[in-house]
Amino acid sequence: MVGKGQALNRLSSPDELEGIRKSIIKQRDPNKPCITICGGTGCLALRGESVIAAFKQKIKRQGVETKVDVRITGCPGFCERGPLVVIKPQNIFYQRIRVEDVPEIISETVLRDNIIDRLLYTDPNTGQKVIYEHEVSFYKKQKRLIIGNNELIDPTIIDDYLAVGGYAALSKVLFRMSPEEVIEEVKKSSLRGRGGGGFPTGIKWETCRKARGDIKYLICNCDEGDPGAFMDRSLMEGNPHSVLEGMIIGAYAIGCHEGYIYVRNEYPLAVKNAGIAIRQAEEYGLLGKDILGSGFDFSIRISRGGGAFVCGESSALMASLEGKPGEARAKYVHTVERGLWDKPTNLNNVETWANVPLIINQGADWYTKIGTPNSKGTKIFSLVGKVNNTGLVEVPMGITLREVIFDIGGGIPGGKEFKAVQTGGPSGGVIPESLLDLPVDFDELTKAGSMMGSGGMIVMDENNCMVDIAKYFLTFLEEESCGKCVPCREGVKRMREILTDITEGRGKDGDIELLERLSAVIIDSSLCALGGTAPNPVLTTIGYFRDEYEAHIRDKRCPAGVCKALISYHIVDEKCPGCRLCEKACPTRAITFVEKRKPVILDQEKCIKCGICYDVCNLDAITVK
Amino acid sequence: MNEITLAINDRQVKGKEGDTVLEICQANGIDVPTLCHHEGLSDVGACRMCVVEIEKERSPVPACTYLARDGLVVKTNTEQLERYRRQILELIFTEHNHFCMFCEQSEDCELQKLAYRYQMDNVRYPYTFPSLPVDALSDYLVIDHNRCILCGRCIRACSEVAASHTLDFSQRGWKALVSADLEQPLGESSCTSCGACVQACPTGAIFSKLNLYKGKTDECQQIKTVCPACGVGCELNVLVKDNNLVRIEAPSLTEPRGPLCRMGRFRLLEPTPPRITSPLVRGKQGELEECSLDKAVQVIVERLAEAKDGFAGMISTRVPNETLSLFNKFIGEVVGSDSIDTRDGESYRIISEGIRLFQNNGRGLDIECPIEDILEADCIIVVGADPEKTNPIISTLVRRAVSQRKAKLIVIDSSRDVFPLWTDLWLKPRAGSEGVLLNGLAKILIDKGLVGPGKAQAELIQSLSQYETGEVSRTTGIENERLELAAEMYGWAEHGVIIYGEGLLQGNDASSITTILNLANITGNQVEGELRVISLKPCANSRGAWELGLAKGIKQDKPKGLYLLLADERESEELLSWLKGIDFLVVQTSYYSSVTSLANVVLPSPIWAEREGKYVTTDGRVLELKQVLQPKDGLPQDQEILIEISKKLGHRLS
Amino acid sequence: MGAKQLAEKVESILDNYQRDQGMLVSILQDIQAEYNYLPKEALVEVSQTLGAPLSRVYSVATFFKAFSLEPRGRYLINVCLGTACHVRGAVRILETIERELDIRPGKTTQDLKFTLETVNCVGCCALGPVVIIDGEYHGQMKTDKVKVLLENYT
Repeated sequence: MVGKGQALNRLSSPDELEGIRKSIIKQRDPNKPCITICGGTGCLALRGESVIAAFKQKIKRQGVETKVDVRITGCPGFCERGPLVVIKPQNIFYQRIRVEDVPEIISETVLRDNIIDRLLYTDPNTGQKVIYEHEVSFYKKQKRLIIGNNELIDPTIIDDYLAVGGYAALSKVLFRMSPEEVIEEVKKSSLRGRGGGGFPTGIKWETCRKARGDIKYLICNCDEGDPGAFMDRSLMEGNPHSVLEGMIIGAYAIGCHEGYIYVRNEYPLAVKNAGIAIRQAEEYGLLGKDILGSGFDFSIRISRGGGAFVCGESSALMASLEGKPGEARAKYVHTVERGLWDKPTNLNNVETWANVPLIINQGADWYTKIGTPNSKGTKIFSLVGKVNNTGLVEVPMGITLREVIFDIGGGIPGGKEFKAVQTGGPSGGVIPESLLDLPVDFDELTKAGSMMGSGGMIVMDENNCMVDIAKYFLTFLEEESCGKCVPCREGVKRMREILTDITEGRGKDGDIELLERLSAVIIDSSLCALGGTAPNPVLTTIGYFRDEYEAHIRDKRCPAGVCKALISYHIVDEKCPGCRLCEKACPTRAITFVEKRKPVILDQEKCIKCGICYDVCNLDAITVK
Repeated sequence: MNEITLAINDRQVKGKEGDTVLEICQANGIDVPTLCHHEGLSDVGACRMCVVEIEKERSPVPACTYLARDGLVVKTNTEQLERYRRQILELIFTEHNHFCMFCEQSEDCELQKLAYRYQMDNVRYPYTFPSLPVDALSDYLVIDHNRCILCGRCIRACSEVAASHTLDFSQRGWKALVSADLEQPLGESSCTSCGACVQACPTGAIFSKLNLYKGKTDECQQIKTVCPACGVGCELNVLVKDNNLVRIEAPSLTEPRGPLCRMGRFRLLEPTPPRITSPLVRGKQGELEECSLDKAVQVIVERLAEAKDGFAGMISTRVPNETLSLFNKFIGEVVGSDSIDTRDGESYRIISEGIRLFQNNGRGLDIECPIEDILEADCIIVVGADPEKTNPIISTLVRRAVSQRKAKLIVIDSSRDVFPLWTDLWLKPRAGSEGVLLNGLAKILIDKGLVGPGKAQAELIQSLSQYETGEVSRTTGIENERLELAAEMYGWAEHGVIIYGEGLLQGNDASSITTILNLANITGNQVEGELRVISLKPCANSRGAWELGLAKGIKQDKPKGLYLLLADERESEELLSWLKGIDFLVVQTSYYSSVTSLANVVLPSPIWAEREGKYVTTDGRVLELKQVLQPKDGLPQDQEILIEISKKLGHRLS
Repeated sequence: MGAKQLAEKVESILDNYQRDQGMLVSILQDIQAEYNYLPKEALVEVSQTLGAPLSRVYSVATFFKAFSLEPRGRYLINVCLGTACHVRGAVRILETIERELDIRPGKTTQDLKFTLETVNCVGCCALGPVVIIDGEYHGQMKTDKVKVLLENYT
């Protein structure tokens, strides 16, 4: 197998590409057992690294290297249950694997076909064990067109991507389609940018193609600054070639010869895998000069972001690429006409690029069958927060929020009540229970006062305070505002200060109205979209949860029990057996032990409301009021 | 440019394609409030005061960055816009510490004026009272961050006008601060104290110590004149109140001779030595004693009669042509001496000899190009000159060419790189070997064929034969590669400009000047008889004086008597030592100095602001120096004194 | 750290990027990876070699959150404050670490052992709250686990 470290042969025609694809597939026995282990950041964070090492070591030690393959794959999305291991070809799904489980998996499942019961996933709603991956409720309602390949391939091995049909779309456009035909196909697919605004991709490409200028640039935005979203990271880590392929196709269509991947430095694995992918694609002649012998040149460089949410805004990102602070500029001349170094520049985000090969391969007609009238295809969401099955989910546009949260996400943990779901990141807003049957697409979410954004979906339960959430986002935006324009720089700060006052018991009548008045000036007169959407979290929480604001302001009470200044911790005497766990954990010695089997006593004077006692108590003997 | 028509506030107005909505509003007298906009600086749309409503735009847009189109329908004054503007002002006012009663800029502050216009009787947000630093360590400038509204005008002025880029924002969001270099005090930074930032600042956040509490703009008379500080000839807008200088501003930040430098903007306002307010004559005890003009003239007339042929005249080139001409006649006709020179005559004789040796065609100084050519350059050689010290605006123009046009910059200097942050190549020849270096470059250019067709004549090639690269390298101490690199940078340039200055004007060697002219000539850096060469002349009116023929030279090693019209030029060591030993010294000057203490007779002289007349800039433009102050204590003009002496000697000068 | 070594190191980093001004952010990142902060001398070197104004280099170095102009501790603690982590109590985790180490975010302990910083999302949202210490991810953190976690780093 051709892989890391070996020089690859340069391919100089479509036939050579198909030839090598055939030989790769031929070398692979579809019936040979293969242990696929997720190598995504999520699983690695759960000690996945040592699990991978253990598998490699045990297989070697047991001398079964020839009988079984190991593949470190991209993220399959079900991060909550990581580290994830799937045994192929049966697709047996094991979750939360520890190093101790490894020998047993090899000896029992791989070599003897026995299922290990305790490693299976238990459906939280039915209580039943699930053996096969496709039967897991988390995956059932998904339509994994884009992210599905993540778990089939090792992102550091280009042959894996070729084996699943990679770069066929590129070969097709280079030799059988004109740039105009490519743009026409993308326009026909109605693909809309997955980065937030939802601008039609084909039209953007066409404008850039027609823009005057001999040099044009192409950018892939992987500066996923939206806190609570990680689909771009997963794609870039797990299937970087699909993004590269989309970019090269776009470059051909627009007429660009230089491209950039702007990736957050907080995503080290994405930086690494993108770099490996670029190198391998160059070696194969799929990137660089005279791609596949077509005469078309395109090169890609990686530029790492420095940690600034505002760089999600295209002109700010381009400023950063020019070695300047990431400040947005007044964009009355669009970046497709004058962008990076004042040249026409086409920017799309990772997920948008990853959609492109699919559209070319399957055709716009097929693609437009998925989704709603104005939003076609699928969308990847990061379903996180207070939901049982957290992770990445890819669903067809038009699915309802309820289906996503309850069918795929498995509902709210701990029997708590659903309260709201936040979509669109800091630019979006919260959507309450009453709108759960809203079909998810660009326009419906905007109508509800939120937005698609890049696809964060944060579920909140009865224990989340809506004023606190609004304050959280405004704190975030206050810190991320570049400071260039006054309404965003100062207005957002003012809003955050008012929200802080409200959550700390200093709220006063008129605060809500002042927030609304500030929102209007910020939305209408900010320089870029960061400011223009900044008040959304506040306006939607006021709109749907005004009573919570009023409880904070008038009654000095936080109904969800979150806002520290307005709550206190109490011992539930009838439940407390005096086990002393909380007493030992308390950093301020506010808890006094009386005697065994008698409840402890909490001194409110000393309590700093750190919540550690609440966390350590296994018996629900501490409550928040 | 195509004319376009748009409807602003239901009025049809015209503009040009490419204009912003703000420009069209301003041209048509439609008032749109602004803060971050400043004439001559790029627009960034940061303050959002100028937001206007435009039909079909989703939300209001800033007029300063929005390009107008034909048929646009614009509203600038709706109730909602006015409400937004007031809200933005409230946000600005509560952000930092804007306390007008402590602020020197009060009444001259754009923010304050807007507050008045929007009737800001209260603010709805609590003041934040941040504790922000004040930097007052620079000689001329103070930055008080408490009054800063983060509009970025100073930063744009610093990079676009001064091309210094000392200032930029540090941090981000509301924590942002205007900082110099690595957040250093201005005085320790790369700041050249040109003061463009002061002029650009809308509030009292950046101001000059020299302007403090002298007067408000509205109380002042504004007079446009020419800067007397160097030969560039920048226009000054001088603000005067009660016959005192209040402030000096640049009438335009964008004109090449516009932005001003520390010399024009600040140094002219600095405290001066005590003024000479009356004629003085050395008394019997050897002390200078005040006397009437008649008495002083009497003494001069007597001594002139005694020692006529040993008498010489010397004059500063800070004075205008009218004074120069009269002085010329005075020395020639009245005193009857042909021994006359300007303070900087030596420089003239070297430059003119250099030009004569190059091509004896009588163009003289007209062979040099205008300084605006620097802005067009793609390669600049600065040799034997330190423009930042002598002619800061030249240095600004060089930096602008480097930063805005990516011009290559070569510095030839034996002691230091005079553009440390900007130089592409610094050649450091051994002191005195600059001429060899320049000849070496000429030879490399010819050898490499980097010369225009028919430009390198046999005679020149012959004369350069001794400058083999190896030999040049040995003499100058510069490696071959660097010499070749320099030659190639200049040779390939389409628009190469050479700037030289005092470093080449010492030591009586005109051949370097000839070589410079040769370099420009062989590489085709020539337009209509002008070569792209600029010499930096020592004083504001050096060229005027030289062209009037005053730089003839003093015939004697040490004249018996000297009439020195020093005006407001400051003394120098070299002048002092030369003056020692002169039997009879008349000094006409503005200030008490070591020179006056050598003099037998001292006569008063007005300072620059009290004079008027014509100046000729370093590149030959004739400009008008206007009188901005009435002479102190009714002192006479220089000419009046000369005429008075002449009268006594029976001559009628005019 | 000798001035000459620093200059050489910075030059070699600049060469990796063909001295391209556009790569300033990446260049600063590599310098920070080398020294664990951005020494001022390095910024001066970058400015001179790239021909970029010093104030611009400083502006970029202070604009982006990832850069530090102060030397940092041996271990860098990053507490993720992304939304997913926030709704699962990241603030309480942060407060607990602040209390344990007696420092505020952005600061370094006196013994130069730990530097505490916050990050706006590391994309491990499913595992929140997440704490990253020296590149090692610790998911599903709880306040009562903080002390033990910190003790693992010596």
